[in-house]
Amino acid sequence: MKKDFLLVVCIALLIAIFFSGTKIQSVEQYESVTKDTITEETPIVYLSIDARSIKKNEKLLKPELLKYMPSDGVILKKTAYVLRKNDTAFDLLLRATRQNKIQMEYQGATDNSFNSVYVQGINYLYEFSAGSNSGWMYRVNESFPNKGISRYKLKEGDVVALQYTTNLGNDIGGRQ
Amino acid sequence: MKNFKELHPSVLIIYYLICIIVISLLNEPQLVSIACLTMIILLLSYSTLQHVLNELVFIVSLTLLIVIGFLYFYHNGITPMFYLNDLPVTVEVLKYSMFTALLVAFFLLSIQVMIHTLPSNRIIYVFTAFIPTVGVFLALCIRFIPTIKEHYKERVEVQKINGYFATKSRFDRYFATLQLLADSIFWALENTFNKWTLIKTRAFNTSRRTTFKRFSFNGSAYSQLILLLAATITLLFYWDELRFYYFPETKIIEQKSQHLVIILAMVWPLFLELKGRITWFYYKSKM
Repeated sequence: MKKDFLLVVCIALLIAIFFSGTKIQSVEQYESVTKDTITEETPIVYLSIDARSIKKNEKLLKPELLKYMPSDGVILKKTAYVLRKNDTAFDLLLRATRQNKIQMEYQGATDNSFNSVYVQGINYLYEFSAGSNSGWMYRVNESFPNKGISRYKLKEGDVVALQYTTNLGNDIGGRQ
Repeated sequence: MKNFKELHPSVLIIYYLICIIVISLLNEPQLVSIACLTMIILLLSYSTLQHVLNELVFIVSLTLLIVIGFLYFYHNGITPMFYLNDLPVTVEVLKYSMFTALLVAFFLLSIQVMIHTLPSNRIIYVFTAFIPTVGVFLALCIRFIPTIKEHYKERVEVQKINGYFATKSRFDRYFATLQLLADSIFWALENTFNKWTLIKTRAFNTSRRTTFKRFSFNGSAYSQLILLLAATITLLFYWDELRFYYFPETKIIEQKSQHLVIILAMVWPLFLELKGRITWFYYKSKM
């Protein structure tokens, strides 16, 4: 009897842990975000998202994804955002995609061995969508940081660019 | 009686292989649904209704788990229903998860049908002429889980009588069940290796043996082979056109003549089974 009670408590605990770590929002709730007002005093950073590398190798892209590919390959033009306290490059990306209703899927920092968020896909363009060497990379101030996107702390004036590569970064100036 | 079960075992192996390859490569929901239905009907004709229902209960609960798991881990698609930890749960993922669940159900059902139509002796029979070692290996692999199941059932029955589960604590009962399951797994492993040694000592894998030809290629086998060949050719030449995708936007389901070829190859065993049963019915009436 005592052990059966223990079993019930264990199951209840597991359910409680599952629901306490899960945030459920409706589409309207998720999309209703307030934009920060940029004034002269606010520190700002810049973000752009592009998949221009695919334009050169369009044959590599799966045919069903062609219609989601912008004509110039730019998904988000270089845009200024307010830099919040302790903002990482990933926080900025998450905010920007949410404000501009751009689809993004990522793997959480706790789900991989790098202790950093891994961006799997933006605007329906995923890793391996354009060949086995394709995926998303990020650069800050024209260089590719040697750490995960959610571990890179931003400072005022940083220019973050999310770029799609079809050749392990070689086609966008990154190292192999 | 010439029904599907009595076809040459090599035809049966080719049938299962091609069905699995075609369905996995095309990702087509209507094909997987028809394949599942075919397997359920075949299983019904070889097994009892109670057994099939038990299998279906297990498969349905497993498929539900798959659907829930996919909603939690996949977030691609253009139609979000709601957001889970800032990631969208989309209609496309729901459709894809249902397809995957059906695919898993098809695998499980085809394994069940395989157990009835392709016992280990038939697999060994097919490979005897070419590679006996592979034949024995495959037969042992396929028989591994059913052996565990049979042994486990027997052990549980015996231990029940001995009062092994006679405790009020659910934990103790689970632990006893797990112990019996582990015993059965180790027993099956040991049995597999022993059987392999036994087969080798009987000089099974030596060449120049004479074999009794129990199965032969007849009209039914040729008809099934021709249809499977047509399905393979269709897959090779029209894969790009027939390939179904779910992301980012699910492709619209279309009825094409090429689909008919594949469907016919998949459901042909049902016709063979029906033909066999009708023939047997008339044989019986003359007895």
